[in-house]
Amino acid sequence: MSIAIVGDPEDLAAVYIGWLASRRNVEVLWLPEAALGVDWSFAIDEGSGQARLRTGGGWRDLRDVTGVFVRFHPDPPLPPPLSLDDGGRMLFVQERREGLHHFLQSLSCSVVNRPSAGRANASKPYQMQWLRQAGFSVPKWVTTNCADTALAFAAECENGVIYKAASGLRSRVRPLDDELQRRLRHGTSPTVIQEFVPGRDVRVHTVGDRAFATEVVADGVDYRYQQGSQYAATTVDDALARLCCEAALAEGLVLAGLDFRVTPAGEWYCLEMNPVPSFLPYEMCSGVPIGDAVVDVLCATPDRDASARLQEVQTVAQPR
Amino acid sequence: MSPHRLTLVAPVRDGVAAEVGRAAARRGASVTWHAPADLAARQVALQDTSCVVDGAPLTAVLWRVSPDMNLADGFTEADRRFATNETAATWIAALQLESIAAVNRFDAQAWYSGLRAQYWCDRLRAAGVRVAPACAGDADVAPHWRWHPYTADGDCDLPGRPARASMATACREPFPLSRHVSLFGTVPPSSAHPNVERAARLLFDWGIGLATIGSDIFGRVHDVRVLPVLDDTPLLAHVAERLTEYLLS
Repeated sequence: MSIAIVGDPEDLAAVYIGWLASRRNVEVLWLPEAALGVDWSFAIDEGSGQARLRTGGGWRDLRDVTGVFVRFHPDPPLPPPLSLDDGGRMLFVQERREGLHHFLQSLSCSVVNRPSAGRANASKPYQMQWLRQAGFSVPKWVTTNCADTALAFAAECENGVIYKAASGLRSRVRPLDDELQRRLRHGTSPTVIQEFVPGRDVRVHTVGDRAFATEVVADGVDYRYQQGSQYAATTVDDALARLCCEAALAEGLVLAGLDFRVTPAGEWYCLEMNPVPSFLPYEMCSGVPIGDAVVDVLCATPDRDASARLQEVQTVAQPR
Repeated sequence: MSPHRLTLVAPVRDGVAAEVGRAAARRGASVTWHAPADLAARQVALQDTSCVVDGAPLTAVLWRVSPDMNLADGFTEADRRFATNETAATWIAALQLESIAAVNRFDAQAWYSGLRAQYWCDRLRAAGVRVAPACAGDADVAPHWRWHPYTADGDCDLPGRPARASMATACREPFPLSRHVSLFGTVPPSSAHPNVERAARLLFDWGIGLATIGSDIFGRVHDVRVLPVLDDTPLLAHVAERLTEYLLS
């Protein structure tokens, strides 16, 4: 049995998944983005349906690979010894990345995750609309660059508000502060301002139809930037776990990380669904077996009926 | 009764936007044209069910913007990319609202895949549409085949095999193409191959009111352009009338 790991061979999640698979005596094919065309390559002939993979061991049928785990580096290198100026380098890297996306889209095995999956996370207001329509409770929000609108919205929210980037660019979540008010007064791009939900943070990772919940105990509004956050396995009720899995699969995500704030009264508010979740800190600190579940999926014999069903779900799962 | 309001977001020389703007003005609509590069400077308030831009509710939008356009001219170079991303994320979400008529209403998957021709071909194929087969990567390719770069329209001479392997290039057999306008799920006039008509219906299901589809004599789809340039004057006038009717209805 073989699985492949595509992208950045130094990504910690990729290294961990490779290690877990090796422990099960599964062959792990490392397919670094920078080595495409050098140490490995693929050949897909859509006319004949033939799909082959070349690695150090020669050519093989791609159907022998049962699953692919993907982690891309944001700034991948050129293949050695190619050297290009900045413009040429950018074009090469973009073209190669799109080629790899095409490759991953064409595979019939499990891909964790396909590039087209979970794209809504790149627009927070888009994803919040989608999450609400999918059945989650979502905190009240406004996306604005208008100071009056922001302050009026904040005044409506008795527990205060936080703000964060509207796009998928990583940003620190902060309470409404003087800095944002100054930026709004001087002109800035739209920002998501959201009602603050007092309570605890819970991350639910989904892997196929399995859900793993981890509680994060921290003092501030964004535990990712805090020292000393504590992680512990927790439980999520069956209906919500099922909703998380269905929502992730509807977005094409085999692996997803859903962030919740849970109020003292037990209300679960979904903040976002991450298509490239950093699951390692949660697993290492709480022991929830997310990585093993990912390897289970990668090693499963392809279920072509399930793939077809997933495609149907994806097709009808648009926000409107 | 207040007049209809139409917002055009398009480069200043966009022929489709200009024609739609004229058609809307003839119908008495209030037309506002935003150049993409000015978009980040607009005052926006987007909520779950509504969007207000510069103090007026957004009700109808012709969106002729591609994901690689700069949306933040008034920002410093250091902030421009961030502001462009934030602005695009806001408008793409606004276009999904029930209260807004939008052409094209790109979903997140399409927008963040770059709206590239190969993306549409992959999506159409997965939905059962016949798409012209490609050979990708380190594959044997006949010398007369053409390379279709993922990041640009059109085709080029084949690069050498090592380059094809390193860039995972997609290459196709060349065919003369017919180009069809896909307008709200139909392909006027109705003489297109059923496969092309099916592609048009799916595109409309995915929010694409206006596109062009390139197909060969077998009806196989070769490419899809979702920000098409329409040079044919009578066709452009017809398309603009239909778009205006839809957006103001």
